[in-house]
Parts: sequence; C-alpha cells; structure tokens
Amino acid sequence: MTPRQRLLAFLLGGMGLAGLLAWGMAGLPGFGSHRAAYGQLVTRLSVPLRNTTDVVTAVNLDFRGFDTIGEEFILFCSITATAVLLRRQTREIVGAPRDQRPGRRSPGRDDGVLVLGTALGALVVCFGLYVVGHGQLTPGGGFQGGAILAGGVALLYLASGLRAVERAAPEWLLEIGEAVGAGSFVAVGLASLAAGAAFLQNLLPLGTPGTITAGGALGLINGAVGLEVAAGTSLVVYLFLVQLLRIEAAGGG
Amino acid sequence: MPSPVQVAELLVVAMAGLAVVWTREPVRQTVVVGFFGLQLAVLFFTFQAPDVALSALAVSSVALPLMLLLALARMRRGRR
Repeated sequence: MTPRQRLLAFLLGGMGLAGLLAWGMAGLPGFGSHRAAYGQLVTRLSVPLRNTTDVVTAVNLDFRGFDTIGEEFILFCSITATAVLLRRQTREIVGAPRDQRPGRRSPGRDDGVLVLGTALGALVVCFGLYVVGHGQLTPGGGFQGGAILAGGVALLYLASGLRAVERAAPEWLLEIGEAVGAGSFVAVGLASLAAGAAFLQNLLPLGTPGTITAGGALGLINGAVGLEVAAGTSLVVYLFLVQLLRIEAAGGG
Repeated sequence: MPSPVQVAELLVVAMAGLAVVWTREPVRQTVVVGFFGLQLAVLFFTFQAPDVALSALAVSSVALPLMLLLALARMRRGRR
C-alpha cells in the first residue's frame, strides 16, 4: 500500500466515522434535559428515606452499596498486586534511605520545605478527615477523603523524609488499616444479615438530616472506605518510595 | 444551553488534553497530566458534580502524577 492509498483509506474511514458520530450526536437529548426516572426518583427520596443530603453517597453506599463493595475490592486487589510487584526481589537488598545517608543533603532538609510541608500536611490530614466524616452531608466521603489523607503521607515525606513516614505510618499499620477497612465494609453488611435483614440494609437510627449523625450506617461505611483508601494508597506511595530510596541490587547498583 | 463558564472550561480541558499528548518528555508530561486532571476536576465542578470533582482532584491531579513521578525516578535511578 502506498502512502497515497493509505491516506485515501484513512480519509474514507474518517469521513464514515465523522458521519456516524454526527448522526449519533443529532439524536442526543438536549443539553441539561434529564429523562431518566431513576435519577429524579433517587434525588427526591434520598432525604425522606435515609436523611442523607448527599445523594451520591446514599446511592453509592446504601441504595447500591453492594456494587460499591465490588469496587472496593477492585481497589484492594490492585493495591495488593502492586505491593507484590514492588516487594524486595531475591537479588536486592534493603539499605538505609538514600535521602538520609551521611554526606547527602536532601531537599527535605530545607527549612522552608519543612515548615510549609508540615503545616500543609496537618491541614491536608484535617481536611481529609472532614471529607471522610461528612460524606453523608456534603460532597465527598470515604474514597475522596481517603485519597486526600494519603496526600498527607506524601507531604510528610516531602517535608521530613522517609524515616518520618516510617515512624508516623509504618508498613504493618498501613497493611492492617487497609485490610480492616475493606473487611469492615463487608462486616457492616454481614451485621445486618445477622440482625435478620437484607445484606447491607441500613438498620441504624437515621439521625437528623444535615447533622453528622444522619444516614445511619452510612457514617460507618464511609469510615471503613476512608480507612481502606487512605491506608491502601499510602501503602502504594510508601512502597514506591522504598523502591526509590532503600532497595538496590545486591553488590551495588 | 451550557453556560459560558462551562464552554470555556470545555475548551480548556480540550487544550490541556492536547498539551498532554504534545509534551514528549515524561517528567514534564507528568506535570502537564496533573494540570489536565485539575482542569477535569474544575469541569466536573462547573457541571454541578462536586462529588466526581473531588474524586478527580484526588486521583488524577494528586495520586496519578505522584505514582508516575515515583516510577520515573525509580527507572532513572535503575538506568544509572
């Protein structure tokens, strides 16, 4: 095929695709017009049924909580797989962190970075906890808050180096946190089974809409998801840092 | 009709997406992809989906660039 023929084939195919796309777009509902009944229904029923003002959280963790357990374990499995890939290989040794070896001045020792990183880290952790705790009231929840909390771990490394991360969030604690978080979500579901209701049925008192007690079991589930995401994401970040700073090939490298 | 803010943000996202593809140097591309993620978060926010915006903010503008940078740094060290 000469370049000319290839270009011709591309133009023909491209025109066909453009035509199909234009045809499909012409049939789309107008901008902002909403025809799906489920969306309207769930928006209207979220407060009367669950006292929950953040509809997205009510759908994700309650109305379709079983789906979210599946997603939870996708994350859990991918973090586990990453941890297996990043483990120390037989021909590698774990040394002292490169950023804190004698004779090496790491960027983390700079006063400005230390002060800003520590202050921002504290703020980020507070904000993460707030987002996890208020998932049933305002946008956010365990997943978003957990990822923000893991950002705090990254900031801690930037400010104070790997040893500080290992003191504040040791690997064993992160592993336990991830497992307990993922397990607690299932445990909440099993608890409602044990109480004679359906799996994950929301049995706790629903509290007052607009306060932190709203949503019953939603708060518990948000906490579990938050723990899992925060610990799991921090674990991946930590393992990458260990790869970068500690692990090296046996016999130098 | 989409509001002017939404149209503007759609254009910014389109340009940021092109910038990601046109940046060939991996470390720079990581920074650009973080900016693209940030713009996606703003886009979701202007379309009244703050929940998704928060997720996009945490994942595509913090977690993803962080992992990419760490992986790039590890590869660079391994090559030396």
